Amino acid sequence: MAKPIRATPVLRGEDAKRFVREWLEEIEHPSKERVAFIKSAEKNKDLYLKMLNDANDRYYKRT
Amino acid sequence: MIDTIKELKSEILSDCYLNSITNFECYEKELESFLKEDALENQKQGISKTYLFFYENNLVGYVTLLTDTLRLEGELREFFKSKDILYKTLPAIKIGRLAVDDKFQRQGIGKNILEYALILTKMISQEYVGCRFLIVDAKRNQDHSKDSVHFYKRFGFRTLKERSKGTLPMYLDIYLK
Repeated sequence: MAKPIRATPVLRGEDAKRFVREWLEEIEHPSKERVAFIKSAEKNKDLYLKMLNDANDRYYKRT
Repeated sequence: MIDTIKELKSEILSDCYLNSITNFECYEKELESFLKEDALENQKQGISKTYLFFYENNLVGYVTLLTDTLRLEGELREFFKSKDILYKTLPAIKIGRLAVDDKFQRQGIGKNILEYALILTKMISQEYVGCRFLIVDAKRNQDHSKDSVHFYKRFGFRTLKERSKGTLPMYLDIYLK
């Protein structure tokens, strides 16, 4: 048996403050890496959704 | 070289893919053993869902997804209020595992799988239930080319909380203003 999927840590105190500051900064001034990644995914959105829908159709026919 | 996602096909894990899974190899043995030993059982129990990716009938990668929350705690009421943060539990989808077969590394498949997870998460958020983040526990590796922290940073993921060893929890806000 492999290791179980780890729980996401609860953010407390300074960790929570740092997260909120960074998140708000990211909302106002998104990083070029995040913008490029989201735009690249959106460009192929129809293809990904078709892959997903087709996979779902086949899965439900099998089960 | 796989040029485009048009050449990839996705399938939801089920018993009929057990033979394909047997041949899956990954330098991170933990990612290999999770797929071979735990993914299907987790899925049957409703814990996670695993999507397989095929190229010319070869299993080239997989991603396991589950729901998650990003929780903020502590005596920070005034701080959160001052920042207009009204909720201290923020909805997310977690990438429980993501791996590409060793034979198909460096062909953009990891990025394609990550984009697939992003589009799936956005679709859920826009059509079914609220969800704001993608979360992942990135596996460190001393070999820079195999370090998944570096991989996720390339796509704008940020550190959620520093950990001295083991995996590094990271997040991505799926919405652009």
